[in-house]
Amino acid sequence: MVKSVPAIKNAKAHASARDLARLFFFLVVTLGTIFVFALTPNLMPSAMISLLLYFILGPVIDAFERRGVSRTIGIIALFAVIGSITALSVSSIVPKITEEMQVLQKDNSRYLTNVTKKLQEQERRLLGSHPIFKAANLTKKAVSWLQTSTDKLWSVVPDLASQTLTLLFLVPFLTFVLLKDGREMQRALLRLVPNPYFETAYSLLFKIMDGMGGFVAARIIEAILVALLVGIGCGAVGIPYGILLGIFAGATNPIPYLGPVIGAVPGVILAVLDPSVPNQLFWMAIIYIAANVIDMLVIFPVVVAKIVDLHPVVVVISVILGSQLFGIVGMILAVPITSILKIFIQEIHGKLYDREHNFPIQFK
Amino acid sequence: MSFGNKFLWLDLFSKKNDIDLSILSHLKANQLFSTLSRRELKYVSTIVHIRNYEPGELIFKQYEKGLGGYMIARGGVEIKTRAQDRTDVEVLITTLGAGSFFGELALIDSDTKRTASAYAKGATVLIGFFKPDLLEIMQRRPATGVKIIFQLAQILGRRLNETTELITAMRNGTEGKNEAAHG
Repeated sequence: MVKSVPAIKNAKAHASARDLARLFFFLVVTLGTIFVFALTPNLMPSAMISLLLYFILGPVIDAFERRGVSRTIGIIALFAVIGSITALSVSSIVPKITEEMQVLQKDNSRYLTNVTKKLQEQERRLLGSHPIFKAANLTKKAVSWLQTSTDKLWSVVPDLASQTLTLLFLVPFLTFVLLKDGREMQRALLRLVPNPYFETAYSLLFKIMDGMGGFVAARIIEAILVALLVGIGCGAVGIPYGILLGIFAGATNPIPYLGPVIGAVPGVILAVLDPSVPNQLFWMAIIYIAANVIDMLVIFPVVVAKIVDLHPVVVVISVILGSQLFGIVGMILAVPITSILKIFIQEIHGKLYDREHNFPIQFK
Repeated sequence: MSFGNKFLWLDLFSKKNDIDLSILSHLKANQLFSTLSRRELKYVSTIVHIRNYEPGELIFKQYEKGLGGYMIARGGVEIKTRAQDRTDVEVLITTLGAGSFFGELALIDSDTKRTASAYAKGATVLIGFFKPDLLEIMQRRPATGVKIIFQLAQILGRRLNETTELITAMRNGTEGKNEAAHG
């Protein structure tokens, strides 16, 4: 039976009403999630770390599943292994880190005295040639700024400790949920996408998750390797605070271009202010340069080859923009977010281009 | 409640068990999944996507990039192509009924552009199976994935044979006509 034109028109109106309803639910879910995260700042770091762990551990759980182990059992087994390794390393490394922190805090006043002495020397020289600066009281101002800044730094430590406790409870929980039901969550979200945009949305989601998985895992492995190189280098030469310097160098490594420079700053400051071994500045420079050369020539090409290719100019602009908007976190997230935007633009452009250049296939 | 209304909100609010049973039977009836065990079918049923369409609603458009294929669970689908001179007039090529599978070429190559447009004929429920779904199955349950890919290869091989036969028949027809004209 042929349907009458009004019946089809009515059905199409029905379809667009349903699409609108779906779009509404889709927006409520996505904007609601963003709203919840924006309102609870404590949730954000845990969610970010869980997402990172999801990208790293996801392939491991898939490998378990390939061997016939159920997802839940696989996750529990992996958590048990990671928990044991973390407990063992925490019990051996944390006392060392605490000790280094305590020594650093104790040495803080000595560093300040050293800095004050050096600054006074420089000021004397400056006043010798340019007496006009006497009224400026440069050393006094610089030292009081340094004192307040370092005091502020140490007051942050207890906050960090309480946030770490929140992380310790939330991260395993969120990671478990993501590993167990992450794909089901993606499917549930896709169910809310209206029919006309379904395939495009699915293609976008697939490309973003696929790209980000490889990117995140590669960047984390790279950061860990750089941290190990710096830590081992410091240990080999006998430079103190090796673990802290390594962790800082690894943590800042994912910042494009500037990361290695920022990562070297504490080591260089330490070598200038309070050298513990002869030629410490020279050795620090060798360690950082060696770590970065190995990173650039070996780790980056082998591990991070999967990175979505972006033009260097785009990377620089995105990093500057990221730093302006969200500071260091913005700098770290600049490249992945730009990659996501690139995938978006490519997909939407492809869709529009396909519609406009829809030449029929010609058989000759 | 009319058929259209019944399925309008199916994927949002209806009872899950009924849909699951229906998906399982539809999957089993399809050649692509015909060699899978019940356990494997249950797993695949958690991967596929149920989509509902109103009469005349566009499913995909000709020349757009495709992501995968669809099985018809309820209703029907009209396959139409645009005329060679790129006018907006679409010609009905065929009408597919419940149980049919279409758009499977996009499962193998996602850069392939749809060779025809598909429209829902009546209120239609489709089971979508896309390239990311196939890749997920290959990643998580390779043995199941291999069975599906083998069936897919068979379907595509048969389509190729049919096309070759059609072209041969057309060529023979053309040659016969030419010979008659010259003779």
